[in-house]
Amino acid sequence: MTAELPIARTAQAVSGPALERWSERHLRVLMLMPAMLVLLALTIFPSIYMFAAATTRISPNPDVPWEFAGADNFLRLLTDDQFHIALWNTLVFTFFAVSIEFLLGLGLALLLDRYIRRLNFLKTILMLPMMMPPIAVAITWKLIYEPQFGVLNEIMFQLGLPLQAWAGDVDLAMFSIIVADVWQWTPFVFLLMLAGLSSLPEEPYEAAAIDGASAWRQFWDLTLPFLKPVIAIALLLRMMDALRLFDLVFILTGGGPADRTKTLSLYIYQVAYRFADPSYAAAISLFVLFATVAFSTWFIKRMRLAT
Amino acid sequence: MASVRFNDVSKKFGNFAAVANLTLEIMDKEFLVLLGPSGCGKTTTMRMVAGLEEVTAGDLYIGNDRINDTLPKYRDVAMVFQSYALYPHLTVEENIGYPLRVRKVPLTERKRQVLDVALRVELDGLLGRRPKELSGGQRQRVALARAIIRTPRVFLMDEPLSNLDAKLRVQMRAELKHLQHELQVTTIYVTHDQIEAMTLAHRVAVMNKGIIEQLGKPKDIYNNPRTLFVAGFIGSPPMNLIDGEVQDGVFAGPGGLRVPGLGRATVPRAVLGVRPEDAQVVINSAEEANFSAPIYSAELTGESTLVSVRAGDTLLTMRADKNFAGDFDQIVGVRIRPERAFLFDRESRNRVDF
Amino acid sequence: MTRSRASLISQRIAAAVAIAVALILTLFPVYWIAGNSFKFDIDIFSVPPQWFPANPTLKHYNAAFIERPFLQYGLNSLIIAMATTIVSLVLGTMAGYALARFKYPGQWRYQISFWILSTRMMPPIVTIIPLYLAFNYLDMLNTKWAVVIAYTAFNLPFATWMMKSYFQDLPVELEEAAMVDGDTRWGAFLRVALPLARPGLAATAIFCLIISWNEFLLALILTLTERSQTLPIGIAGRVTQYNTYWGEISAAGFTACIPIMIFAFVVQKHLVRGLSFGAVKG
Repeated sequence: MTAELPIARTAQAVSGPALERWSERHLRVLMLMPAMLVLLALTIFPSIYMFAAATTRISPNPDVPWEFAGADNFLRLLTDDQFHIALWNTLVFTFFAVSIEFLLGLGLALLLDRYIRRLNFLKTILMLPMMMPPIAVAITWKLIYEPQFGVLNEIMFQLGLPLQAWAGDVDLAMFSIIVADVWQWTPFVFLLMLAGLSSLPEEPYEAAAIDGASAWRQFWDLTLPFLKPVIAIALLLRMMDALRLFDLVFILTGGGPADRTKTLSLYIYQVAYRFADPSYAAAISLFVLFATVAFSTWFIKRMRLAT
Repeated sequence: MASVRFNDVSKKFGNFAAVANLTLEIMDKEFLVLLGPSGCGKTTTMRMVAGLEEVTAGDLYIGNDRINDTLPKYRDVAMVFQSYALYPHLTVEENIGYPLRVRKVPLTERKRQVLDVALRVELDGLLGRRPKELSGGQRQRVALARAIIRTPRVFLMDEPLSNLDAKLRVQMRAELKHLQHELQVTTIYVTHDQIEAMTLAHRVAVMNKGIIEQLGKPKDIYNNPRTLFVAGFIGSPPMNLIDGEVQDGVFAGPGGLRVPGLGRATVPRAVLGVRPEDAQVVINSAEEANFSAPIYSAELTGESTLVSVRAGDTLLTMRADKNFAGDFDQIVGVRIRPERAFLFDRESRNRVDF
Repeated sequence: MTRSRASLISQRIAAAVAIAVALILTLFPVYWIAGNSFKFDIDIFSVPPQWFPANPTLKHYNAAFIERPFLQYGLNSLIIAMATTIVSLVLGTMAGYALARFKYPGQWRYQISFWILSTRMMPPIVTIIPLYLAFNYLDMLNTKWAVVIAYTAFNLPFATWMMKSYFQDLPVELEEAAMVDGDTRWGAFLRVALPLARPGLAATAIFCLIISWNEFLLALILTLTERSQTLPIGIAGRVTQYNTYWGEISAAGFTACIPIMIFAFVVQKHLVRGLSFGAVKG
């Protein structure tokens, strides 16, 4: 809730020195301006560039001037197969990765909250993966997944299971990436859920126990509804990040095999740098941006979260 | 001279008028209570004096200075918040000394004044504690100390006693009254508790929906309410208000209730008001009664018994002797003396004299 | 009652097992990369794998720090992370406070808040081109400042958002009391709101530091030499066209992780608190 703090308007002998009056009056602008200006400066050029690029045709030759191309780049999205594949891959990844992270994170939080409340040490260990540089994470998992010398296949061997190519396998590549992402980001969901659980009121549970509700019922009827805002935020943040996945894919699979793991970000990267077509890349990015914004707005409204 | 004067002051939030055309003069050294239910505008009015709400229209004066545009800092007022608003990260000593610190009073002088004030409110042993280590009553005294350390022109108090338990509240009431008398500072006190208003105020302004319904001494407000709202708000238990009609000085109400002797008034849609202490229970059928009905409930309060009967749809409560013994549904009579009754017009909500 | 006691015990055991499994799964990759950093390259690829380095060596660390400028990379990462955190925190705290306390005309507040959130929705790939062009034009490529500025573009909205929701939770009466006591609004902010916001500041600072420390893509594009390159680049740099120096990468990767792990343990209390404020209250 905002409180409207007063604004001094005119000069009075009893009102104080001029500079103080002026700064008090303009405080709401003075405090917000620096941040806004910096943000504006940093985002305005990229934004203009992106819009300009998306609506023109930029040739790889820097001496050839840009040609206005209107909505051509955007129309290309409709017919571009590779874009469709990338879109599909990204959605599949997002859906599975976020769902698994959510379920695991929530489950772990419920466990910890119930049985081991006070051990910060434990919580901190479980938080480590999300704090590591994504590059380091990617490389670690690349090693683990290595078909000939990696640890995972060794374990499979010991268990008598067939060895797999993991990141190089057409069917398992996406799965491998999902596992790596789940490893890194489940702690994030876990932390949020833990925070949510720690702020749950006790009385409704006492009332439910007296009414005869089982633990499962209590979870379904009380815990979940109470946690709705936190869950919504966790899902939203993870989805926004999953849609932009780059580092992991870049290192683990490079988009292959056979484009099976090419995500949108990776495709944009290819278009921009390998095919040297920054205008199309800009168009795709804008599409992703708008889609994400639209989805987030709908999601936020649906979950009735205030911003 | 620290009078506070409202000259046709209004406060609007968007289209909603929290305070409408308020004209009020609070005398120097006066203890004025703004009394009313939640949302009546009393807190907003006080906050305008503090400078925490901007005056939308009209003029506000402290003494001879028009302060509409003055920063709170320069108004020389002190305020006790309902939640005390103690700085949690500062000790009691630092809390009390804060007003002096922002005025750049040197440390030694500050400590001296803080000790002075702390002794006065009996907080001298707690100066090193933090607010969260204090009880409700102690926190309230810290808030008070912080307010009086400056000897401001005006004291503002926003329901300071509402967070205390009943016993403490009674105690602090007396202390506040004594303090104000000692310090001789103009005080504006906001509350919804009419007992506080009656016991503390020099004058009471009863507010409702942004306007003052009645302004006067507690005794006048009690004995001479000018509007239906004031009549029903003041008094515990509240005044009985019965709908009916008045023809030529006779009130006819539900359940056969008749009260003659109301002069020559004729009010087609009227409300009869009579305080529980002015309505008598009549058991002996020999005595006159305006009305008879079965007992709905009888509550012993310790000093008296409150007997309630039904008159049509309304409940009529009478104050009887503490030794009164009556059972449910026992028929009793009700005697209402017209000279102790009030008559109101149901439409205009105003008092009708007779 | 025997039945409920037995079920309680078995529940407890199941929970302990689950937590133990979670711990193992969490720690294993970290342990693995740490272990590999001490093995000779051949040992890293031995079949069956060495669960514990049989012939530990510091060769890779030597390569990283002595032959390659990892220390410099680390220093760069540190300076950049701290600089961008300080700037973002100062500007963001003021902006967050303003958004929490002051009234702005019409829909502005919601627009601004949403705009701030939307900086997280942009795929970073393409914003890199204009950033590169801009810094190139300003002749600021390969400087630490360019990276600091670029990082501020996402740290600042984050800091603003976190501090705004934190200030919203602070009761406004405390600042009002300060103003009536004789402070200006700015004074009330400095003396009352800010000290009380310390937990939020700590949490925000921690997150900004970690995010900046870990960032890879922007740093890659904007830097060229060890004058400004950061640790993540150092790690990736060992994947060359000809060879993947797994040993060095492991050493580099693990080195990048160590400061964070130490940092995390030192500030664990603030981390959990901070996330609970930033997220639970939206």
